[in-house]
Amino acid sequence: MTAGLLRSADTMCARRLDHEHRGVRGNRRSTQRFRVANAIVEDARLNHIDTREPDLHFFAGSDELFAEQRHVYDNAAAWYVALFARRPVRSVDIDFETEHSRLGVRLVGPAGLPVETTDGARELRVLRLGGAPLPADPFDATEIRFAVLRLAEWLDHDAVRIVVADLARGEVSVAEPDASRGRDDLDEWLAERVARIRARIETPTSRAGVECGWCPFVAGCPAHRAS
Amino acid sequence: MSPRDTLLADIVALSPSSLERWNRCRREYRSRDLLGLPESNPGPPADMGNLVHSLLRMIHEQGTCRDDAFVTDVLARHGVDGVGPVSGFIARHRVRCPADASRSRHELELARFHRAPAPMFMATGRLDAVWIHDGLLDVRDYKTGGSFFERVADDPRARLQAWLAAPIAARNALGVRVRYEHLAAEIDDDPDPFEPDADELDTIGEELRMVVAQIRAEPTFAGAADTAVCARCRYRGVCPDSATPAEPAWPTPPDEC
Repeated sequence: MTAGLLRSADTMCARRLDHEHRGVRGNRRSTQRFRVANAIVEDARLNHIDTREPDLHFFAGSDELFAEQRHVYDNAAAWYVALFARRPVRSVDIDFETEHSRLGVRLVGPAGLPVETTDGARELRVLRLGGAPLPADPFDATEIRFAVLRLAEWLDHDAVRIVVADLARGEVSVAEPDASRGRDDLDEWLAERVARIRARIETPTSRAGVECGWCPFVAGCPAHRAS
Repeated sequence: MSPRDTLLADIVALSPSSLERWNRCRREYRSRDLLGLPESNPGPPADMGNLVHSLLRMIHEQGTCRDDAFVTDVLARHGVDGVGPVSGFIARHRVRCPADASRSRHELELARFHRAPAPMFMATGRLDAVWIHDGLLDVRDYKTGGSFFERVADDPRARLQAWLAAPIAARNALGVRVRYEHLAAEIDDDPDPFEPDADELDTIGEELRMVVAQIRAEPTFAGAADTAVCARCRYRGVCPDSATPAEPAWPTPPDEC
């Protein structure tokens, strides 16, 4: 289960949902859309390999960014340094997947940037580049719920802070949840989402629509057989 | 793999908006449709247009635009009074609305896959309204802004809409018509509707295939560098080719940071 599947459990074409869930290999997608966001997260992670404040020196980006991507990257890097200034932290390595044995699923994919402060407090940073407005409560966003579930063991701690930052607009939303209490709600939410996905992929009927524009499985799709 | 190699998916997607951007400026198309970048210089919000589209959908899904009391009630429920510009848009639609339609749909999503000959592509679109009447599948595009074409047939976006709707029309033994409803008070006449026959629909399919072939072969995605185009571009603040360069309008951190 990826964050994308959980987010689109109700709306995604059931055939695509089924194919994505089973990891079916489709046509190649463009990866450029995620290039700037991935570069920012990766450079922030490197910035904090040792306990450090954010420093623009670590945000060199890639020589292969297009000029417009470079503008977006530089502005995002400047906002990262400004929004998290004077907060020395160390990045924490996490596995790429987390098993949720009770539901029999693996949660797979990025889970933000987990960091620790010098006094041991734990902070999950989720970095965005524009898009939908930041939620007033970070837990309203699927990506946050997913990241917290992925990191549940690590976040089971006295001092936890969750920060969602939009590095295109320079905005942040911060929550300091009670991890143990919030976990039950999140488990319930995950169970509901997983049940929904399993129900929908029982009959993976295809449906033509705007979503087909970025579906990698259209080549063999019954909805387009007559084309 | 070079950045150029990962720019395009195996199957290129085309929509009326992306096709318009491609025709206007290769660089703008790349920034928006391939790179998905946030706009450096956003245009004015489309709040009014979105509200009018949404109200027209609700009015026709729940009743009819010819029922004055019902329309007034729908507008009131959305905080719109009966004499303002929004009610004017609705009133101007009413005189264009097909009275004898047997069926209609609003916000209809369509997708049509072109498989062969190469290159493959996927065309998608969301049609504002579709009516069935007089042997026609009548596609309506509500316009709340300016008018730029005297004939709908000259607008590539409309040609794509017609091509998208053609299989549904064919299955129902209907002809296709695309009509623009210009609902702004200052525009007197709608452009001539577009009613392509089977040959013209084939021609459109070939036009779209050639566009996708050009996209796949495009080596540089150079900007249009045209004052009229660049002055309205939402990426002019980050485009090195802009004829009207500007500072990005997005927020920047304070200097002391």
